[in-house]
Amino acid sequence: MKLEHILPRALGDSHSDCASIFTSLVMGAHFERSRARSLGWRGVRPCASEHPAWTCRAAGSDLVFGIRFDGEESCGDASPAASRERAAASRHCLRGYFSLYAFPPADSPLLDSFPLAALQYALSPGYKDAIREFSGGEPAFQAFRMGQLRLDASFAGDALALTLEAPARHRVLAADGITADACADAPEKGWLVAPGAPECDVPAFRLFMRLFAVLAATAEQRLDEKAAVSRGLSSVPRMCFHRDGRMEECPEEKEFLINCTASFGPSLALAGEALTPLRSLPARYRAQEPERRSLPVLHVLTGFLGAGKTTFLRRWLDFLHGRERYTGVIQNEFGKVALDAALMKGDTVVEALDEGCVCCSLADSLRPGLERIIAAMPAEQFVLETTGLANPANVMAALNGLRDLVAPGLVITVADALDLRGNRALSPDGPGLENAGIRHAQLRKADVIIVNKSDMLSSAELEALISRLRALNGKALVLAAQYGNIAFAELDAWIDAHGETRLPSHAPHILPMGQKDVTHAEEGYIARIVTFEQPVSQAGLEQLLRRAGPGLCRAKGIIPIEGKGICIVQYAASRLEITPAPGEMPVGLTLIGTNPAI
Amino acid sequence: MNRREFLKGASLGLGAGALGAMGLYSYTPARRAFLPDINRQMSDFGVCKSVKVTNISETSWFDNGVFMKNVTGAGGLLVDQYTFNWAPFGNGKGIGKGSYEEGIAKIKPYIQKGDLHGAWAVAKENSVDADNAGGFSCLVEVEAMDGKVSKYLFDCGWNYDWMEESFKREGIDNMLANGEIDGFIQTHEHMDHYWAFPVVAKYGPNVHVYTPSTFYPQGKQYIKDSGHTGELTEVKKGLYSLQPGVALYQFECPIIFKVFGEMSLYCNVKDVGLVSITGCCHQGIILFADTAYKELKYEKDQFYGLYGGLHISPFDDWDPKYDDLVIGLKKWDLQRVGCNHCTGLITAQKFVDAGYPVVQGTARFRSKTTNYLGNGDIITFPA
Repeated sequence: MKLEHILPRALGDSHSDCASIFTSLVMGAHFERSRARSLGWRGVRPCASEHPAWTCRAAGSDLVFGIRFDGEESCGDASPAASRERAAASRHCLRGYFSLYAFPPADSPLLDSFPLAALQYALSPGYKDAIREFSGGEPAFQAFRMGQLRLDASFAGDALALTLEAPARHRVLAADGITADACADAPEKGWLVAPGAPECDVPAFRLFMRLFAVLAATAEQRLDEKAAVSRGLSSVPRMCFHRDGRMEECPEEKEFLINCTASFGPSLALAGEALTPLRSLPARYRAQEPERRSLPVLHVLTGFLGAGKTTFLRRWLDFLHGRERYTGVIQNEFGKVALDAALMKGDTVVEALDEGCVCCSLADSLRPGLERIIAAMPAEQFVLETTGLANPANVMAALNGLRDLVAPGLVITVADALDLRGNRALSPDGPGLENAGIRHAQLRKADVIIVNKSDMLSSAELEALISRLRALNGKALVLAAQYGNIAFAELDAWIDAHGETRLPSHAPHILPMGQKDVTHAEEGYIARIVTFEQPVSQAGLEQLLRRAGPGLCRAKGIIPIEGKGICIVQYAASRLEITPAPGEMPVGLTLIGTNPAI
Repeated sequence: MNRREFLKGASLGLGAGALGAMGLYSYTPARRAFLPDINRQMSDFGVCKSVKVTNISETSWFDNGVFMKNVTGAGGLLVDQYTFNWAPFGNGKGIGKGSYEEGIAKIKPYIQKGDLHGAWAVAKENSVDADNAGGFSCLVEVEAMDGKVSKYLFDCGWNYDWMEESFKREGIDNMLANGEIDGFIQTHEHMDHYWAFPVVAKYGPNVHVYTPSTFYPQGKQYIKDSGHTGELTEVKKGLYSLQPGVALYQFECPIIFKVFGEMSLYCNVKDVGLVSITGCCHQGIILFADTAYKELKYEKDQFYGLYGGLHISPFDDWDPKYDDLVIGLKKWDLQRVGCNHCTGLITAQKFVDAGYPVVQGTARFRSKTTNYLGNGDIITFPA
């Protein structure tokens, strides 16, 4: 056991060395998100001050935990002779104290056993926001403070111990009882707490066990050593309080404090602490199957032509890469020109599949493509961006044959709010657009539907569209977006929520007898490329798009525009966008649609 | 009677006074309770008149795809940076099989001669994707209340060739040679901030160097191997004052690629507010801003300006709704932001979209967007 694996310096630099050890322990576990999650971490929020504090969640518990560094002191004998000769109990070590707070959700029945002050605070509207700003010590939070964590570290750097201590049941008796009498307007009168009954009765130790097990497992991993686990029991007087706020000890009752210690290296237990060894860490988090898998995850991104798939993807990648969650992209475009790949250049590793569509003609090239990108960048996740015409049901069928390479992830469908504004496109048998079949299939198969360009609709229109989408696919998470922006962490939360069940997209796909999945080939889509030797005027470009007729669904390219230089041109759902892109290489304009005039 | 129902009523104001009669107590079960204390410490570190930052280079590497291939290929984020076989510490054995000792042995003769181009050429032969390396470095000029200007060089980049060229472009080589640089601040040990240190030592071997106290042995050795002969200050955790109104703050935190500790620079500008300059902000902008708020006393209690790379947080937030830098920074009401480097091109765009006071750059010298305060651009505080 080497403490320097956690804190690479000698102890004694500050009055908060134990806080540095704690920070380092927790932060180091979070370099790789998958690693943190498999240890049981479910989010941490640090809070600075002379007394550093954190809020966090742990797997298997719906509580938000508050942890606050209270202070530290030197224990044991500092003289070198003493540490050589005496028992381990007098090793010179630093002992840090951290207060532990438990914040249950406001609707949790657990809160009913908390002190009335805690319950009252939790029922106030600002509760959730207030917890986010936790820095410990706030008077309003004291009623949530239920336990203590100790961190012992030897100055020699050869021993570390983490100890959770909390009452088995934290009870405080109300000697005079608490009546609801004071509430003059309340018709019901009576005892809220009968005289002599507990005002609170919290199974405090149990609440923190999940958190403690995550911390101890984190230390095990960082130190590459199994913790020696022990348990101890002690008692303190049970307290009771009187109407005037006076507290006193209850002569006939005791409160039992349980402590659990995970220690590394020689024992740092103080003399007189009676400990029972345990074989393993209680309440230890066992990662579910997907977290333990060594295979990378493959998400599938679909969405009709021009809905904003690439825009969404670039933003998602910015979010992921800002958190060092490297993600490779496999792109498949309908048409010869790999514009999307050009736009992504430099963002990440992009594998462009050949012309054609992955959902039908290219299913066979997906495997070598995946193999190439995994070899080039053995990342934890990849995104397959399909063509706007791909039917994800067909893609999923192809993916089933790739289970040896990748674990299936989310199917995300970017929907174009402008395109879907009318009711027609959503109804497969209504008077809809002739190509409603593919839009329909993409929305039906999605785990997540991103309603992009939501700013182009009135709030009433947007609401109506979202409720129609929910009716069409009740299992999907529906998120409104502008320029592909969503709270990207919602995607992770959605995966978590399905951690123990199947994502909707992975449900068996059974078609009624005689039906088969729709493909775009049957719907007659074609792609054509127009190149421009000379800059084209905006009017000329608009005329060209008009000439292509009503069957034109999508146009995109990098072309020279009069007066603007090289521009990225995007056309979808009757909206034309021209963005100057100096320095880009022109790649021509791809037109996609069903009209032979294209 | 159901306490929840009763309290709901009470919180709706139906039972005013009800709680007063409850005999609220302040007992918590921990045997040893330190006194609660949430006071802001508010260290007073003086004031300065103005701050000017010149971006020498923010392009740490030029192609993210290549960089990510290197990282994943070597085994991920936990791998020690000195073993990647990145230049200049290449030993020719391939990705993930390098070492500081073997790498420095190959280039040290060139460094000693001051032939950094030669050193990098040798490193290139023995390393992976050396041409992808760029670097992060800026010049911070602080005007004191009496008008005297102090110059601090803040990080030194990665690629010898790129950084020597960039230093020359901004005249840093002469400033170093003429002893005009009052201090060289090495925020953290990461390759893209630190490995071009021989360029600093070549022109200013006597410059006063500040590093976090938690550099690993290789990092400490590199200072010597680069030919530095001046003073070295290892800054411990917490606040370290450089001059009135200017202080370093060392955050003790582990960072990817086996690095520990990062310093940021706080400047308290008279009648304006606090200006913060960061390298990468690996401790996370939330903690960084919070620390300033709780520990420093600054003008008008206004968090005025920010320059540098902005990592939001090393953690996932436990509430996914808030896992966003734009949301995270909102409460500080910043007046002037120059962001770049690891901030994220699209995050920078989102700042602009959200109406943040982002000072736009010129997208020159290989910087990619005008939303970044790019290479060769200047930002001043106050405007």
